[in-house]
Amino acid sequence: MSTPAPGRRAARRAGSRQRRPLDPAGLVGAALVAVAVLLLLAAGMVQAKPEPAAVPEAVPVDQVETVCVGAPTSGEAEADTMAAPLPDAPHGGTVTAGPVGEKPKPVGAAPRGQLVEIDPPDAGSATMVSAVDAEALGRGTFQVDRARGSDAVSTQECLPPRARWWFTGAGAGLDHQSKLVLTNVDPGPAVVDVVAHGPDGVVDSVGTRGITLRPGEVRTIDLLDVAPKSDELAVHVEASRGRVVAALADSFADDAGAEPGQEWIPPQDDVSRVLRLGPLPRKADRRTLVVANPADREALVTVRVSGQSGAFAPTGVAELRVPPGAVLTTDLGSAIGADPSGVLLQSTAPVSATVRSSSAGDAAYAGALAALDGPAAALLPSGTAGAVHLTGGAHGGSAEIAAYSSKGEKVDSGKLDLPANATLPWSPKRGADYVVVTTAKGRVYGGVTLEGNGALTQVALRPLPVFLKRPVVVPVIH
Amino acid sequence: MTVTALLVSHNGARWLPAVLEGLSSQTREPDQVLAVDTGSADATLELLTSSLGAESIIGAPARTTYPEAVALGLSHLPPAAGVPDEPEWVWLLHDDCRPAPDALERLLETAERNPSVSILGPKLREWPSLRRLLEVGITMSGTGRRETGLERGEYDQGQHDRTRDVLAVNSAGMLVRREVLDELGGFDRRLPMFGNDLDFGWRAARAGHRTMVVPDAVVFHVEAAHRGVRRTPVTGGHRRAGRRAALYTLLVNCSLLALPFLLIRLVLGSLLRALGLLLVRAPRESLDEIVALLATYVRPDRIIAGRVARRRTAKVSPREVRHLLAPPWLPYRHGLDFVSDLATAVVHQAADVSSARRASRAAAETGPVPEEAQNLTADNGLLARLVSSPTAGVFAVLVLLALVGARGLLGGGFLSGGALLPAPPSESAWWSLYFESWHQGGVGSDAPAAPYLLPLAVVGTLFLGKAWLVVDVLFLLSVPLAAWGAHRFLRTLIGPGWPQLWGTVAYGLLPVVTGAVGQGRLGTVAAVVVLPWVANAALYLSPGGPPALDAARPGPTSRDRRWRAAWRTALLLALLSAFAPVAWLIALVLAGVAVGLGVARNRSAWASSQAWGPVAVAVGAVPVLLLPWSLMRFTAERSGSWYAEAGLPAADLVSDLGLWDLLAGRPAAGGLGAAPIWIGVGLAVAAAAALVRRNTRPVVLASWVVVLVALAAAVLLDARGVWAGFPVVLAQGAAVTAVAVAATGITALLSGRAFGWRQPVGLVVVLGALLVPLAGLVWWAGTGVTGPLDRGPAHQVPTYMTDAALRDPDDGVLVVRSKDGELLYTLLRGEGLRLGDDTVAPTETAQKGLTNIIGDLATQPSADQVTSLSHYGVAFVYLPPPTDPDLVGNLDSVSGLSTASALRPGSRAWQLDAQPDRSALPEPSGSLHPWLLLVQGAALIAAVVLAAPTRKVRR
Repeated sequence: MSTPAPGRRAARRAGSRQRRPLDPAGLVGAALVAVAVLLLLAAGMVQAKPEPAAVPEAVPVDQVETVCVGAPTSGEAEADTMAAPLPDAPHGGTVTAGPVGEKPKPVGAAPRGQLVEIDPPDAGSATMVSAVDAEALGRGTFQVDRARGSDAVSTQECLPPRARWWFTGAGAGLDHQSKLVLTNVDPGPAVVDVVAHGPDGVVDSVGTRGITLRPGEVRTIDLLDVAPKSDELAVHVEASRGRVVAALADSFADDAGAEPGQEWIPPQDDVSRVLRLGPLPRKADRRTLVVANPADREALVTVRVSGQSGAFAPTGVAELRVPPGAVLTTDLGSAIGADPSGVLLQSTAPVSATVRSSSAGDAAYAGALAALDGPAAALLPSGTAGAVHLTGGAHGGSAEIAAYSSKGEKVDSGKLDLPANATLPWSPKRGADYVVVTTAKGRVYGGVTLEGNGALTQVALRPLPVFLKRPVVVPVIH
Repeated sequence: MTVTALLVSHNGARWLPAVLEGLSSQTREPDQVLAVDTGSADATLELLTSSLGAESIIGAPARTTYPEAVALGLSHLPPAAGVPDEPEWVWLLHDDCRPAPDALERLLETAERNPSVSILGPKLREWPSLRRLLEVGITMSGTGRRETGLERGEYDQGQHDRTRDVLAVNSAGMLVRREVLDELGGFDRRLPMFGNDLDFGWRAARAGHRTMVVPDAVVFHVEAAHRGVRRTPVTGGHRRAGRRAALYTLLVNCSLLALPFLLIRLVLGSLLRALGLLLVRAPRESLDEIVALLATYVRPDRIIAGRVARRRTAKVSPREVRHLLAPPWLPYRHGLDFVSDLATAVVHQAADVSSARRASRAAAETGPVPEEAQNLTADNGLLARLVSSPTAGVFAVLVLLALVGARGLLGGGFLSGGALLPAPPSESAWWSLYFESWHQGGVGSDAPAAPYLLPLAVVGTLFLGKAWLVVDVLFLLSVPLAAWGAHRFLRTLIGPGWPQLWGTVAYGLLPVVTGAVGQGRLGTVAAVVVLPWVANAALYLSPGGPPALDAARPGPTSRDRRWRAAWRTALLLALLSAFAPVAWLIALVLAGVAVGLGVARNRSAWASSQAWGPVAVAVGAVPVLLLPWSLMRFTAERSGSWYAEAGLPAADLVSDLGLWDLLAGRPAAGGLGAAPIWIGVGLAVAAAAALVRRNTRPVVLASWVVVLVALAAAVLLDARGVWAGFPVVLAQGAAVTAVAVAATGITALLSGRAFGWRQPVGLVVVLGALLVPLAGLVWWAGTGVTGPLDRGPAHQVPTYMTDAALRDPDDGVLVVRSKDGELLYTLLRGEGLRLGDDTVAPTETAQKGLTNIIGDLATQPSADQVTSLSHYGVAFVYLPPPTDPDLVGNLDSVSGLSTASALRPGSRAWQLDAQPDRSALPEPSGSLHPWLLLVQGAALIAAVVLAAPTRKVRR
């Protein structure tokens, strides 16, 4: 008779008594797993070192073409050009000026900093100022339009052609009418789309798409033909071929039936989520914020006012909801007083905006300001009291301001230290014909307000063409 | 009639006793026996002295050639009497040829019956077999081959016993009139050992003498020198010396008219023979062929001297001798026989391997078989195999799912997107790219084409030039292709069974679940397909052979097989590295680890080059096989060239890998085109659990070492911002291997143990492991291939531009894209960018001039810049949407550009007014490329030959 086999439990007990010798292979295996875990953890921590992004190179400007557009309405106009008094700037080069489409004439040689008067453009025409080599460096050209029979003055900087323009605050009603002037200065034809946005969205219009401008052609488009009976409009000009210079002449009467004031609506380069609007004239009966939202979704816009000590939210208009494609108008009311100030907008969608300041007989438009990353200049027309209004960036900044006579002699200078989002004024001494603002630290935005005899106007400061950002160009395989 | 036997010996003590016995037992004894010993170091001299007496022995230095020895012997004979009725014969014997007792008698009988015959030769039979025929008279073919008219190893059954005139007879047993020897000056001293008998016979024939073979006389011959059994100072390499003698004999004896033709024919024939010998893996014989040719041709003075000497003795025209030479068609018949023999051998070998596999499988199916079943014939029909064979079923499902998964990628056009460029119109583009030293694309480039274009071009040629089909097959059938390799590898490693099938499917799904297919990662997809074959070949590199997990498999690998495996591994690793160069770096590390472990375990065994040599060859040969790319790219980019895989970098699809990405094997950024992470986690758990099983632990540990090295490589590549597809796939493959190895026989193992913690834990691990392929299959079939890979037209610019660029390579198309404030440009020529063009793209430095012009145009455009653009061979400028408005404005405003048609919404195009030219483009310069290509070609041929099955060399 055979002996019965032990049961499972007995076998297990026996097995447990016989302790297995330590298996070195098992230890190696455990070590390998541990190293694998470490590697996996390392993978989570190690991050690819990004290659340093190539920075666009700054190259000195050696050619400039700017266009001054004649106001559609009759009046007196003047235009001045100058090469800004920049330290260590080279000499040489040529400057020519003349009506667009005609052979330009040389402009007499003038030392750097001296204003040179050129023939202003007639109504419905344009004048192109071209400078090459060192004369192009810091070249600024300005035009001043004075209404016939009144003290109203409007001024703007003559701008180079480009493909995209935005104007907000235009109108096509009884007391508010605007005219768009398009100029093609290039040797090839330009094809332009003009899209108007009204309070109810994009305005359906005929004949505003694919507008072809011959080389040298100046065409004026009355917005009454594009969007009749629309008091508040935003206009988007997009060249699908070529480049144009666009200017929007506005005629606005604050009170029904009153004589309208003439003004150039400042252009905006492109729609943006963050906008700084300014400068605001200190004396105005009414201030109206006009915001256009070309996006296909609602834009939630936060409004803040840049006062002398920083930004604050105005009562009642702290937040706006702009419907998709529409233009929204808001009365800023008493949110802005007589102190120098600007408006800061932050939006959930890219928008275009302006603040219209109006008083009896005149109106002024505070458009989007560009950061002054180079010297900027503005004309101080005679008969007006000009004041420079500068706003600090999100981290503040400082700027040096110099005022010059028309002969290029410095007559005054100063420096403004600007707290974050604060707007401060600086008034030049009498005898100053233009000012040059140079950012010393941080980010600075600003413009010049011109007031006198009830007239309101302002001009935004734009960096003069000193350096161009040459884009990073990379050969790729795609 | 007198006969003098002249025996020439050199270290022939092995055979001499029998030879001397044969000589002494002749029924017609020679009148005199003389022996010339050429410096024997063995007992030859003693044997000769004791048998023949010291007075019959003539000593000579060791370097004495056979013609010199014969001449020396003749010089010791008394002067010829010159009596016409008393001919003096000399019977030449070697120390390795034993005459039959009546050999001399038969020869003399024939000589008496044929008084006009001057030279007679016996029938030579092989010694020691004694029955096989060696020679019954000899002649020479037009290629210099020694023709006997016999089959190899033919038994002597009297079938060739016909006394007849021949061109020559072997000097072993040759009976020759002494005056003929004197008249012709004996044997040619330029033929020291081989072929002098043929030459002598030919000369004799030209001198009007008859040579006759006498089959009744038999001599047994060892052919010691010819077979390489005996090496003397004058034999050298016997194959080389024999071939050299044959070439010399042909060239000095042929007619003057035939000489030029023969000179060319012998060169071409020798090269062809050398190539053929290489292909049958006989590199030394191939080398002998070439060296013999060179040695003969570099000394034309010898040929001239030989011909002059023969002209002096010649009395009949070459035409009268021609009938004694082999027919002209004979070499071609030999060639045909060679090819057919080779084909038959290959077919037989394949059949043997196949039947061995079937036998192995049949042996595994043990147990009683019903009697009826024994009588049934095996049903080999497709349906029956699908039903009865799980493997066939799995592959059928995989192929079916491949079609389902690729449903969004079927149709017309080219596969492209992500990292994949569209395939060229035909494979000839790949050949051109590979062989050209200068590429016209862009501004021109001398960069070497990536090595993966060579296999693509080869496969493309097999696909009748349809390059797109190569890409389609690789991407759309990547799963079954990868599974095929995995199936083969796992069969070698663990044998057939369910773990093998699991591993096959789990690995096969890697191209799709990792997102490699979805992202168009050609390198990773091809690497997944090739990797198992590399691993399979590498299994045989170990001296012990593949790990003995499958009892049915043969044991340790033979030395020859290891070396063949080394070359096979080198070839496959080169193929793998061509698509994923980082594979070679990983292989270097793994080879180092393997050799290091081998040395640690058995230092003495691994000290031998036979142990580490195959491993070193497997990895060391790869850079040579990847020439010219490996050298030229390395000198240009250093080690960086080995990081990027085949295809575009597609950096926007690469992101930092996290813990879970690596754990689940998902190298794709944000899982683009890849399966969800949870599908792959089970494999990691199962691979860790595989370490628990003791008896499979060595193999599992080896797999884990591979996992670690691969993970480390992935982390390093990730840190450099480079796509880490291959290392991740390698880690996954090693994990699959570990699990499959540990799962072999797991069911029996677990069920045979007492119930405890092992069963539930094992069940969980098995379920987790099963989830990997099953969930992967479901995901793949459900979603199909996702990611940027798409099918569409290959043209990136308007068709009229492509047409113009195809008509004139100067009409390039400059494509400028705007992205994040940067301008990205490509200068297209011809068809535009196709797969492979990216590998020869010009460097940024070479394009600096063009880059500056585009920068100027985007900043301050002028007509001069447009003119400069035309000097770069640019006819069109094309801006695809979204365009940069500033650049558009600049290009619209500048003179020299006219607006051209661009149909795609948002795009813009211009045509240059100036006629494009190439004046600003760099000129091609001298390059090492062609020479490196030659080296690569030679290396590839050598590697293929050395990887092929060994040929038994027969003499």
